[in-house]
Amino acid sequence: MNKSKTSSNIIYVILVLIVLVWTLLPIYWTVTAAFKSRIEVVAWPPTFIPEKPTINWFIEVWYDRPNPNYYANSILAMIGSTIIALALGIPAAYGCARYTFKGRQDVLFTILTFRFLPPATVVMPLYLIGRTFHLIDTTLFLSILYGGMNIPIITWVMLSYFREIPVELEESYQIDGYTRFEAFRRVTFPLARPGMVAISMLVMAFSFGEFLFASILTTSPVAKTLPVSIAEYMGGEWGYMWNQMAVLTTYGLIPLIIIFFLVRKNLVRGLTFGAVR
Amino acid sequence: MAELVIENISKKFMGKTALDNVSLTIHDKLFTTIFGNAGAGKTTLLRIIAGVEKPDKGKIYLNGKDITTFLPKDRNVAMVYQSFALYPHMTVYDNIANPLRARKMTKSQIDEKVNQISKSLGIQELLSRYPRELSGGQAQRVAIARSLVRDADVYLLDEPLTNLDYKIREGMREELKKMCKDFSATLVYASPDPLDALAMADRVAVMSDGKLLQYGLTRDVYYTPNDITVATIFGTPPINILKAEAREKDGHLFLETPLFRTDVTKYKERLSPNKEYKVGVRPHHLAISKRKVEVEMVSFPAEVHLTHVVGAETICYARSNSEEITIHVPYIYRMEGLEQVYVYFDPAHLLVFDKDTGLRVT
Ligand SMILES: Nc1ncnc2c1ncn2[C@@H]1O[C@H](COP(=O)(O)OP(=O)(O)OP(=O)(O)O)[C@@H](O)[C@H]1O
Ligand SMILES: [Mg+2]
Repeated sequence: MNKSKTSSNIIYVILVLIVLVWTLLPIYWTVTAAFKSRIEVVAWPPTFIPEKPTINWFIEVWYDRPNPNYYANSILAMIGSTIIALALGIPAAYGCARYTFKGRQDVLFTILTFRFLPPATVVMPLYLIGRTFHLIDTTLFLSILYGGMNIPIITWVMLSYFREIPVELEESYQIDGYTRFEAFRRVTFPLARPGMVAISMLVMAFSFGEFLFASILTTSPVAKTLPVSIAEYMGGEWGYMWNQMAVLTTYGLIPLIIIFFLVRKNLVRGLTFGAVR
Repeated sequence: MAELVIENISKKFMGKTALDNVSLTIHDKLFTTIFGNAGAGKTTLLRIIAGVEKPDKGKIYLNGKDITTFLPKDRNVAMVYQSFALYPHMTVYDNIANPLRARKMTKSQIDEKVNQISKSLGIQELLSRYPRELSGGQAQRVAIARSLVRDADVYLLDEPLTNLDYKIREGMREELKKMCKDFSATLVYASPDPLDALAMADRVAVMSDGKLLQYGLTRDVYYTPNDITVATIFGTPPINILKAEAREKDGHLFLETPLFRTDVTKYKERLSPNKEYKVGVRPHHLAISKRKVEVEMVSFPAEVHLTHVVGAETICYARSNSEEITIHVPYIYRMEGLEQVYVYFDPAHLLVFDKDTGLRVT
């Protein structure tokens, strides 16, 4: 018995190590690449610690991209799209979870179908729509698109969250002497918050890293996003500029890591959410 | 003073009838039980009274005021849910204080009230816990405390005892009854257990399939049920029902069943000769004897084939002339193999129902 426990512990540790290496190694490689020389970055076998660490690439990127718009744009699109997706997805999920009305299943299914089309198949029509409404080269357009693309997942994840929170809790709260909205805000919302945080993280990561729409719908330097900016260091007359790409990617990691640390408590609870009672 | 009038309330869920034209008046300071099997519409009725569900039709009056369209918060009605509905992210203290905070009481007033009610329910030690750290019995007390802490006109309790084990349930019945008197509260208590109503309620409303079948003093409903359905569902173990036929002989009227024959001449105006009826007699009105004794009672032989001891009482299952009978005796009866016995009962306890309409005729 003890023996099997020890061996299962060992397996557990090995699995954790594999996952850690799997996720952290690419990040480590990217961040160190930003400090390596142009030769060292492609050296084989790769070096683990930069031989002669340099901050030259940071300076070069600073001069290359005197305007940090791309960074702000990505953050704005990330925040904007998350707000839009939450603002529309949560009421949709709440409504479908709490009210029975004719065609509810159809509504839910229709929302899901928005994600059935591969994005590449709609990018041209979207370009035309954007041009008609003068939205090309705006962060607003990206926010709307990213937000829209994420409404289905928010709706479906939050739907099951809201369904797990007994309606009696809200009713009881109203009988205690509060309005329906107060019952939502002080009971259902706090109980569903871990789920909202977890799903928002996914939406933010998606929006921050989205490339296809951004590359086609934003082309001017003022509207470009970080992924597009990174891609511009690929190919061209200098070939792949791994160091500069590594610098930009390192920048890109910062907001995600900050957000992750801010919400990590909710995230863990959100992913292990069980029955309320 | 609290008088709650429920007038012609109907409610359908997706075309399925949950309440069908229910009317009743809940009287001040009385313990009223809404009795009915699962799906009878008890919870729906309570939720409509509390205001968290809208009736399709009908009105609710509280103290003469039409409150049908009032929000729950404006009704001054408290409710304990079947599932207790404790807020999982709040401590026991905050749960109990919640309705008081809505009434904008000061901190010290709230403190005093919460402490007072927790003391009378024996849950002072639990105030800083979270609901998930409570046992079923404790959670139920907290839920009751949260509603009784308020000065509500009416307290609605939805089967608060069903989730508890037998022992605690017995104790809580006594306590609830006492509380109703101590707080001089108007209580409406929904339950599928006839014992709840029989043990606690001043009045009982018997419901089935969304319809109100009978409403009145508990003992009246029990001893003089309107019809065979009420007689059957309200009472445990269920009443014995037998086929019967009225026969006239020598100026006397008799009811003949497969098991016995009894003189019913005094009900002559209500029974017609050569007509079929159904008769019912409650298990606890039957007595058992191993020898035949000469008494002024109806008697018939039977064979006991199963006994079931509950506490200090016994439910005996017997067979006679291929009819199944249940007998409830107030002592412990152990049988050794099949036993031939005589069953006795006082014919005054016999209930006679019309065979077709099910209505009680005597
Ligand atoms: N929100 C709802 N949506 C659809 N049907 C409902 C809803 N609430 C109740 N019903 C239906 O209405 C009928 C009455 O239900 P209700 O919950 O009032 O019964 P009950 O007497 O409380 O039963 P129980 O003893 O099982 O709690 C049932 O057939 C039930 O399925
Ligand atoms: Mg119920």
